Amino acid sequence: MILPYDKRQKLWEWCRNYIDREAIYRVDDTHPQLVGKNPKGNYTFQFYLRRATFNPYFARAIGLLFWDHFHEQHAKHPFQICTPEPSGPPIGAAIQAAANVLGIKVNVFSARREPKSFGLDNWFNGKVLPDVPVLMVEDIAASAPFLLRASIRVRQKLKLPLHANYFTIVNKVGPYFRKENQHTENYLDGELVALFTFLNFAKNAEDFAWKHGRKQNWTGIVA
Amino acid sequence: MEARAQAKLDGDRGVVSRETLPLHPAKRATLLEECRGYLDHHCIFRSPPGPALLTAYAGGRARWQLYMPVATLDQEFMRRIALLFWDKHLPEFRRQPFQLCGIESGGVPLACALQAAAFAMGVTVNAFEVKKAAKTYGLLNWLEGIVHKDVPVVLVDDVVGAGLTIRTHAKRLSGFGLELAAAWAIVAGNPAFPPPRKIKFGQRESVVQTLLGPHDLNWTHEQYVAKYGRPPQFIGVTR
Repeated sequence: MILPYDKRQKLWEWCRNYIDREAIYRVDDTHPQLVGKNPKGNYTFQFYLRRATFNPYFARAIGLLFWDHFHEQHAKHPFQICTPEPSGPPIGAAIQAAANVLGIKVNVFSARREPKSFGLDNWFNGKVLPDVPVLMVEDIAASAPFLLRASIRVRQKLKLPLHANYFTIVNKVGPYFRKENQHTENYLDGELVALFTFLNFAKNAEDFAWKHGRKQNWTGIVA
Repeated sequence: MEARAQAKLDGDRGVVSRETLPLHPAKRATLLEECRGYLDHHCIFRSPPGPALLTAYAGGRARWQLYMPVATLDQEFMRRIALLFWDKHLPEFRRQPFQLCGIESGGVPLACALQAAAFAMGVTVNAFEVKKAAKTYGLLNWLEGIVHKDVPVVLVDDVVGAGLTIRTHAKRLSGFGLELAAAWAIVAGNPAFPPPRKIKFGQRESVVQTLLGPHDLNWTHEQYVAKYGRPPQFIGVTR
């Protein structure tokens, strides 16, 4: 750990509050239902974590919180980072930027959702270091198995060992989600390190209004 | 390490950059040449003499392909690029703040690195992303991040080819009511289309600014060998 307790707590709470206010869309009487991935279904809330990871203060804080957890391990046993596209790369950039501040060298590459359709038909972007374990980094561990698929491809196509951990900002775990859809309950064989779970945030618009004393109102335009 | 790290973490802003802008012209030239060299030596996959190995974008085979993420995901390359970018654009930012929009997917690590470098110099710049296609669920959004309606946008991408992608996104952002201040890419990458890449911001015509032009790089195996006297070594992942 490189952060003193109060600094860590301050950064963590700032990020938690920022996600709660700015990065979760919650349906209410002024915010219409969201279209689900399955067109027959609707969502009552959805995370938009890039509203947070594109904030420079949030990015710095996440980078520091990441290295607060992993810096000692990295110093003893260097690892490289794989960020699944499209939401992982901003976190990879945040981790790299914090590494610059701390004087740490770390290689980051990204995993595509599908192979490039021209050139080398590659599944990955960037460069990889041979034999160096890969820590998978994503914004959210949810029911969609993007992190799992990317990690399998790291092992199969790059022949690289995985780090003992995965890292996400949010682990979508809690009493509102079915256990079979939760990463920590089934198919990831490494230990997931997440900064937040859904329990850290207001669960719906009513809960948000109660906690914050106002209705949710995102800043900026949504287009 | 702990004490050094702690010293660097003091203060919420964490203003840590020891870089001073503006860059001395010699320093700027050195940084630019280091970036050019990195791209030329490491980021272009070139088919050796014989059958072309690569699948071409428009079908058929290709003799070379530029892989910018090899550079834009590299810590040291992006530190240099950010210095070169802010050396030119920080005075403009101080006169008229702008926000950065990275074009998915190549522009995203670029926008993030430029933002982080500015933050390390004590400058807060908003950034967001324009997607290749609108999300098919949720808010069906084209943009990711918080977008400020009244702040001009600088559109950034890693590479500009003929300019179609950047022009399409410029038009899209204008359609959302955003004012475009400039378009910027690290390299103009297609030698078949010599610069300038023209772009329209509403009624105003401008050009896509780049650090490097197509003639700064040696695209084919033969050109590379002729210039450097050795075969190229692509370091990007090929799987």
